Amino acid sequence: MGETRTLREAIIYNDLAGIVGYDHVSQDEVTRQAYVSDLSWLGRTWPRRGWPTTKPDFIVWPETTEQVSQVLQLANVHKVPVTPYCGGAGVQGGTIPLYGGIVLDVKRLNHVLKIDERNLTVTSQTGIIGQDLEWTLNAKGYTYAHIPQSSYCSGLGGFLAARSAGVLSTKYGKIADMVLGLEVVLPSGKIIRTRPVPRTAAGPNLNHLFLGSEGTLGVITEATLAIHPMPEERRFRGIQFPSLHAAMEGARKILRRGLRPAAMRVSDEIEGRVLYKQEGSLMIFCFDGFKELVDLEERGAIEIAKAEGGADLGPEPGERWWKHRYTIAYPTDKGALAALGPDALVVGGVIDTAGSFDYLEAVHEEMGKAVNRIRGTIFLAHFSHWYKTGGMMYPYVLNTSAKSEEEMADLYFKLQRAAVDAILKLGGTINHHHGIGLTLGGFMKDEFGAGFGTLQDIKRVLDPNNIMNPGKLGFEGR
Amino acid sequence: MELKMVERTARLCARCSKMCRHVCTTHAVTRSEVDTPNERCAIAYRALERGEFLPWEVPYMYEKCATCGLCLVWCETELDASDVMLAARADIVNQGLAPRAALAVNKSVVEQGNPHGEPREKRFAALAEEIATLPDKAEVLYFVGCDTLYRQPEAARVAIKVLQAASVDFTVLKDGELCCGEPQHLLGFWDASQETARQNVALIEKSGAKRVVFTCPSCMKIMKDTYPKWGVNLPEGVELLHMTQFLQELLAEEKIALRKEVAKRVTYHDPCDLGRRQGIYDAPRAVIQAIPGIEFIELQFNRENARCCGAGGGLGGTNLGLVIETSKTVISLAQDVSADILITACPTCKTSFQRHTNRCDGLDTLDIVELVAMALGTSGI
Repeated sequence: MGETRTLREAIIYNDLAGIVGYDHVSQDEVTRQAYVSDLSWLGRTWPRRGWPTTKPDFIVWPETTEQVSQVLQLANVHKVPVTPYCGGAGVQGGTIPLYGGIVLDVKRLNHVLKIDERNLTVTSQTGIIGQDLEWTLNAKGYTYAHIPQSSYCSGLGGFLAARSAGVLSTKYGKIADMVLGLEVVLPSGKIIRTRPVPRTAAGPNLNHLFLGSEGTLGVITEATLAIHPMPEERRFRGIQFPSLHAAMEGARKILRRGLRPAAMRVSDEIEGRVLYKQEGSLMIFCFDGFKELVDLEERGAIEIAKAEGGADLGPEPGERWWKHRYTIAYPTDKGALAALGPDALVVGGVIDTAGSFDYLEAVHEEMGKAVNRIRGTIFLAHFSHWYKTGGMMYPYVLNTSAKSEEEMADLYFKLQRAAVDAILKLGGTINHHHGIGLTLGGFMKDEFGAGFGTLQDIKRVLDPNNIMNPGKLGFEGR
Repeated sequence: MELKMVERTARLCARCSKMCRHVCTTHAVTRSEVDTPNERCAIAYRALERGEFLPWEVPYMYEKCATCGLCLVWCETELDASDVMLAARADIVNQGLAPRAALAVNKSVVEQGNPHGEPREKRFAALAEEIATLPDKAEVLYFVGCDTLYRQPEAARVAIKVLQAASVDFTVLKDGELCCGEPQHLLGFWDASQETARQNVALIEKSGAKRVVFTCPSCMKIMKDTYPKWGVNLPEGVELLHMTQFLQELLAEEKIALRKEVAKRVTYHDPCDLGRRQGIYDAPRAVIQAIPGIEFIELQFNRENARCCGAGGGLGGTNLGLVIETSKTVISLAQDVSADILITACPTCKTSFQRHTNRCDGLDTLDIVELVAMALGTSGI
C-alpha cells in the first residue's frame, strides 16, 4: 500500500519530527484513538458507543519549552489547531481535539526543577502527574497540598489550565492561590515568564490570564508553587446535622470564627443517605497542622456544630471518607448503577458552582427542582470548598430515562441547561473548579456579560490564527 | 479467544479514569496515553468485541507492558491488566500475528532450551568446574535458570559456592536443565510453554529432589502458579523456594555464618516476580541485614510499591530500548538514597541495572547471593 497521507500531513509530520524527533511524534491510528476523549460524559460516551469522533492528526510529545515554542510556530505556519494535553482527566471536554490537528502532550515536561525549602516553593514543569509531584515533595518532608480526586491521573498543567481545586482547598487554596510564577508559551511561540514572587502590585497579574485559559491562550510549561511542611497531625471528624440548613449554618459559622479546616464536606440529605447511610446532613471536617492548633480548631468547630444541632459522630466517618476519597474514580460492576448493565443509557455529570452562603442553599433548591422536572433524574450534592464569603456546591445529576441512544446527548444538554439556568438566575458562577471546556462554552457570554468581548479580544490578539484549542471556553471554532 | 476469560478485567479497566497511570512502568518513560493499562485494555477489549486483533494493534500488546503488577497494587477494583496482556498475546499468536522478536524467543526455547538464542550445549559452560563434582541426585535441586546462566553466571557460581559452604545436599540439572517456559508464557506461546513445563516436571521428578531452589523469581513463579493452572504438577511434596528464603533458613539454622564485615551502604530492589507476585519481601531484607557492617536503606518505592526494572513481561526480547530507559528509574532511586550497592534478587533485574551501573561511578549492583558470598568470606568466594 502506498502513502495514505496527504502531502500536507506528511510535511507537518516530518516538520514535527524535526522538532522533537521521530520517537516523539505519532500519526499512528491506535495512538490517535487514545487521544479522542477526556473524562467528561460527552468525551467518554462518544467513543464508547462507537459514535463518530474526531481523532487528532498528530500527537507530539515535546521535552522542552523551546520545543513547545517551535511546535506552536509550526502550527501557525500551517494554520493547524493545537490541543494542549496533560492527563486528559478533565470533565468538561477541554482536551477533546474537536478539529483534529496536533495534540500537544506536555507529559514529557515532567521534571521538578527546584524545591526551595527555605522559601517554601517548588518549581516544576507542568507535565508532571499530580501524585508524582506530591511524592517528590513528600520525600523531602513537604506537600503542595493540592489533592484533587484525579491526583493519580491528572497533571499540573491541567490543574493550572482549568483552575483546579483539591480536597484540602479550604485551608490551602485552589491551585490558582498556590501559584507564584508561570512560564507560558504564547500561541505565537513566544516564551514569557512571570516573576515568582509572593504578591505584586506591578500592574495586572498575568498569571491570572493564563490560569483557567484551558490551552486557548498558550501552553503553561512551568510553574512555581507554594509548598508546606508536612502537617504533624491530620484529624477527621463526622457531624450529623438534622438538616442541610443546619449544616450550612454550622459551616458558615466555623469559617466566620476564623477556623481553617483543611477539608469540610457537607452532604445534602440525599447524598448522606446514599453514600453514608445517614439521615439529615452529614458534615465531615479535617484539621491539620501542629497538634496544639489541631486541638484548638477541632474543639472550636465541634462547639459550633453542636450549637447548630449537630451530633458528634467521632473520627470514623471522616477517616472512612479520606481512605475512600478516590474510590468513585475506579470502575466497578457493583452497585445500583452498575446493575443496570455496562451499556445502560445513563446520562449525567457534575455541574459545580460557587457563590455566597445565601446563594448556596438557594441554588441547591432551585437546581434540584429544575433538573428533577425532567423525568428520571437523580440529584444529589455536597458542598466541599469553602471561603469566608461562601463556598462551592458539587451537584451530581444522573438520569436513566433515555429510551434509546439517540435521546442521550439531547437529554444531557437539557439537564445541563436546566442546572446552569438556575445558577445564572441566582447569580453564581457556572463553574468552580472543573473549567469550561466544551460543555459550558455556550454559557460564557452569560457568565461574563460584556466582559466576554474583552476576553475574545485578548484571544484574537494573542492567537490571530486561532490555533490554540479552538472551540473551547466559548471561543470561536474553526 | 483467550481474552474471553478476562473479559471483565478488560472491560472495567478500559472504562477507568487511568487511576494507575502514575505508576505504570512503561508510561513513566513514553508518557503517551496509549501506554497506560487502561488504554491497552481498551485496545484488547475492542479486539475481543471485533473477534480479532488488527496488525497495527499488536505492538501495543507486546512491546509496552512489563506485566509488573504495579497497576494492580493501585487498583481499588483489583484488576490485573497483565492478565489481559497475556491473554491478548496468546490470541495474537493463535491468529498468526506474533511479532518476529517473540517468534525468535519461542524458537530459541524450543530448539536451544533458552530464550536468548544461545547454544544449548553452552548452558553450564561457565560453571563446568563448579558442577563437575555435584551428584546426580540430591535432596535439593538448584534450578539455575537461563537468565542466571547466560547473563549472570557469576551469581550462579557463587550460589553454588554458598550452598557448598553450607554443606547442603544439592545438585543442578546440568546440561539437562531447560528454560522454565515463562518467556513462552509471557509472549503468548501457551501450548509450547505447557510442553516446556511438562519436560521440566519430568526432569525435576527424575532428580528425586524434595526441594527446588531458584535464584530467578520468574522461574519459581511459573512453576508455582502457572504450571498447576495448566494441570502440570510437580511431584507431590516438592517444595519451591527462592534463594533468599533458603538463605534465611540456612542462617537461622546456623549452617552459614556471615562473619566478614561488608562496610557498604546498600539498598534493595524488590523484583516484581518475587515481591508483588509472590509476596516475598522479608526474607531478602533479613538476609541483607544479617551481614555485619551493612548500612541498609530502603528505596523511596519499596516492597509492593517497588518500581519495575523494565524487563518484565518479555520486554527484554521485544523492546530492549524501553527496558534500558525504564531501568533508569530504579537506578535514580538508588542514587537518591546514596547507596553504594543496589542489591536485587533476580538475574533479569540485575542485568537491567548493570547496563547503567557499569557506566556510573559510585553505584554497583549485585545479586543478593553475591553479597552473601562476600560476607561469608569463604575461600574461593
